[in-house]
Amino acid sequence: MTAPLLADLRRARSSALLEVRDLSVRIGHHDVLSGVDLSVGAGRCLGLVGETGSGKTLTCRALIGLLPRIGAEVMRGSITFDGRDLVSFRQRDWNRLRGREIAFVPQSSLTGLDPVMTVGRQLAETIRLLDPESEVRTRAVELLDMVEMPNPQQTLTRYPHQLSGGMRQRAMIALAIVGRPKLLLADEPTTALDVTVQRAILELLSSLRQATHMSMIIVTHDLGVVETVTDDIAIMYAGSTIETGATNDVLSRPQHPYTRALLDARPSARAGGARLTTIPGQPPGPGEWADGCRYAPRCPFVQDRCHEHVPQLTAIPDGHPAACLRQEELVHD
Amino acid sequence: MAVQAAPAPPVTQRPRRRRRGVIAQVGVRLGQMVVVTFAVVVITFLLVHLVPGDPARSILGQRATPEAIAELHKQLHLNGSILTQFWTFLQHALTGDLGSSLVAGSLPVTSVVFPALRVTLAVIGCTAVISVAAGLAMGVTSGVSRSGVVDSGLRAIMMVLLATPPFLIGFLLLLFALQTGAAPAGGWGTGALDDVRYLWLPSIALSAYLAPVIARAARQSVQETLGQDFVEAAISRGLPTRTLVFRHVIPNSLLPVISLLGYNMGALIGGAVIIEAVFNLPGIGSALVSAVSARDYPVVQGAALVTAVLVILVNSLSDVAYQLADPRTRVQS
Amino acid sequence: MTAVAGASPEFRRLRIPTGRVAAKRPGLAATVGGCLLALIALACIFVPIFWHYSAEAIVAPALQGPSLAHPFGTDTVGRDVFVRTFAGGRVDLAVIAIAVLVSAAIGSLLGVVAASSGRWVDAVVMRTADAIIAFPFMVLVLAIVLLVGTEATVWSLPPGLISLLAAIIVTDWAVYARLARGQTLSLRQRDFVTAARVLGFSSSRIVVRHLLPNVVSAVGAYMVTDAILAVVTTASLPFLGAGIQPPAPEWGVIMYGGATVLQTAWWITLLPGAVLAATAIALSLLADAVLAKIGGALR
Repeated sequence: MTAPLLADLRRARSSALLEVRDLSVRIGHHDVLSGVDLSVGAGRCLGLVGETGSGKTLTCRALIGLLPRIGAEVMRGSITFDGRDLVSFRQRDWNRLRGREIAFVPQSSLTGLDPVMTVGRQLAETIRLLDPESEVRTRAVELLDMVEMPNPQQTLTRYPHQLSGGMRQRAMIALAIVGRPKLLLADEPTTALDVTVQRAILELLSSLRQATHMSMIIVTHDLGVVETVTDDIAIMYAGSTIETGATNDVLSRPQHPYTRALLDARPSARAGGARLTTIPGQPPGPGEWADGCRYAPRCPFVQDRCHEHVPQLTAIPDGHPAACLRQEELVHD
Repeated sequence: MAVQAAPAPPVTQRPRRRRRGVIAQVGVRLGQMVVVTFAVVVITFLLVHLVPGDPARSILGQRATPEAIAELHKQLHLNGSILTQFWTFLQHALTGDLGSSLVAGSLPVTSVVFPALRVTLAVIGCTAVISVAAGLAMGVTSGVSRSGVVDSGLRAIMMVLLATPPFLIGFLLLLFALQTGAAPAGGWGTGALDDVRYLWLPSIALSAYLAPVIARAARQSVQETLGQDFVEAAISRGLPTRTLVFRHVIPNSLLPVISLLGYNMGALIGGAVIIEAVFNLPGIGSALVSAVSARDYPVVQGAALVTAVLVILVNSLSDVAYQLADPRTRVQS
Repeated sequence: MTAVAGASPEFRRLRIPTGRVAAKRPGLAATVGGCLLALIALACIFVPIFWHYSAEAIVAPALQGPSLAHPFGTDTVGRDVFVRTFAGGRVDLAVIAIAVLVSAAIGSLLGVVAASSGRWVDAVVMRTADAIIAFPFMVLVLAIVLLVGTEATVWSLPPGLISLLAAIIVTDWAVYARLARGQTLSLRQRDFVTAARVLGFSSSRIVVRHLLPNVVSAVGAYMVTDAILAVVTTASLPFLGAGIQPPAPEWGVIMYGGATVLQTAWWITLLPGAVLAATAIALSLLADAVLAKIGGALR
């Protein structure tokens, strides 16, 4: 009896902080996620990349227990966080976990602050809930310092509409790290910001990670963001992850045709006046998924068998996991 | 302070129009108020002068002596051109002189109208308290509830209450009062404290109209608030539902609900007219009804003018209060 | 300050089905409301024709409770309340139909004219409308009833009918004018109208093809709601000595007739009241359905 337990323990220790396996989620009669596989190591930063509608945000919602709010439910798969199965979590379990272990900075964090309450009161409320031992005001100022908020003292008395976009984003991050979470989910943290502010926020996230050793998942559609701040990457398409691996690896040696197309579509990929390539067609919405590989209808390398088999995320020798039947031939092109 | 929109994802909310200064807004509102009040005075004046035939004759009857008619013309300021008459009317109205009653010992109209208005306002004030309490309770419960049964049940109750004429509810309550002796079956008390005994039943009858209106608005407002990003962010910080509802959802949903009170002033006075008749309260409705049956033109004019001006005042005040109360529109400090 | 909310589209799209329960089934609400209203209307047409008593005749001892012979009992002088209720319903339903249609026609016309004419016409029409809306509805209706007088009648219509219709129409047009003006103004700025103008379509074509249908659907939606207000006003006025004059049967008149004996003979007031409430509920169901159906198009 002891031996397997020990083995389990050892595996748990060595394995990732967060492990998502074959997650499938359904809203009404439509599968919206099907076959999401992710893992985030302790202290590491994962970039979750995909087009609008690929299921990135939905995956985040699953990780923080917000699926019931939109009438979605998990049909299959597991989410293991720090040894616990989040799929079986109930409301009470979630309330204990949220903010303390997993924190979430939602997508539109510009509207993520209560408009009729000052930043200080929102911080105080969260501190009293998640960090009741500390002296509220000191801690609030300390948190605003941590997110490099200009004039922390003054900001406490401000309403959200009196702050700039970048400052509101900083305030949101401050609120998220009140409970010293082990994992921070940041959904499109830079999307609605000016380019200069975007860079500052990314630098802030990186330095926070170094200072606090927390793990992060950064959801984005911007490969530039991924390149600068993440260690690992997971590419999503039509509700499933189609390629995962170390960021450098995946970006330098993409194995899935979709990842390749994404990289080619980057403005920076355009060298010497070459035309910017685009991916023909549209990603399919929920309920429009083809049988077999969901990328097949847009894939230039498509073969008949692609329409029959759903490719699984499999690793090839000297490569990282990707979900393409032809990845081995294609990687050598 | 400009926040630039990123190319993707699609922007679902158009940038809000730049708000004008609060002082300017209040100024514009006051200007509108003056114009509409003037129009109300014109209409009140025309009420008597557009009557087909001679109002004096229709008041005194066909057999009136020419002397009596001439006397009444003088009393009603019906001599001279219509413009002179209006000028006289306007001058008198501005100095608070609404003429004298043709009955009731020729009392000044103001001493008929204002004491009656006091009773009506007491009923309306009491109604507002009951309706806000009951309406908010119903609306917030129904808005927050994720259970379809609670929601549909409350919706059904609201619809039946809204569709049942206030006098019918008045009669049901009167029947209840007669059967149980829980309240006097109408009339008015001898002092402020005693009045309350007579007040609460009519107020409940009138609340049957107002409470559902407030409940509906509260329900919609709560549901809108619940869909907002800051609620999502608060949930993912681990805020318990009760804190969320009481500290974030209700304060954010309250303003449109409270402003409804102001906008319903006219309907409330109209409803009070009927409820006063049912419960035999000496309010503005009863004054109006007896003035109508006695063909007491000046009192009818006075009651119409005073109630309309009151409605305009309350509407404008609630507008201004809305501006001042919403921190999103407050001037920056 | 420009706030940009980039909410995930999949979230927004999929959240719609979790919305309102009744709005999900506007068809059901409309069917129930429509059937109920049709039932009441048919009863109002046929009960007075085929029932074995007439609305005016004294047919039994006074103040008898509901029975098979008199399902709604008898009133203070021994008339059959059942037949009086449905005979009265003819008056109430006719008042609703006429008052609402005429107010809507006058109001929409003035509203469209105000929106399409110069500043002064617009200002005069709309400030008049504002002022009329400022008066408490009931107060203005009472004042107008006083002016017109409840005795005036033509073609042996029930006394009080003319003053009642006049009062409702004079008071009610203003809301329609506001509504029609708002629709016209907002449509003028919408892309398809601009496009039609750029393409060189004549103004009359734009008015007929684009403005009219939109104004009509907005006004039509409000008419159903307004009908509730009209029926409640009609039935309330007899309590105040205005409106339809007794002994003509009308819901308010019948109910007021029983008010003094409410404690012993509740049926005289409450049973016609139930029919009135049913009418209002049917209209309210219809209004909800109509709003759910075209609400999106209006915003």
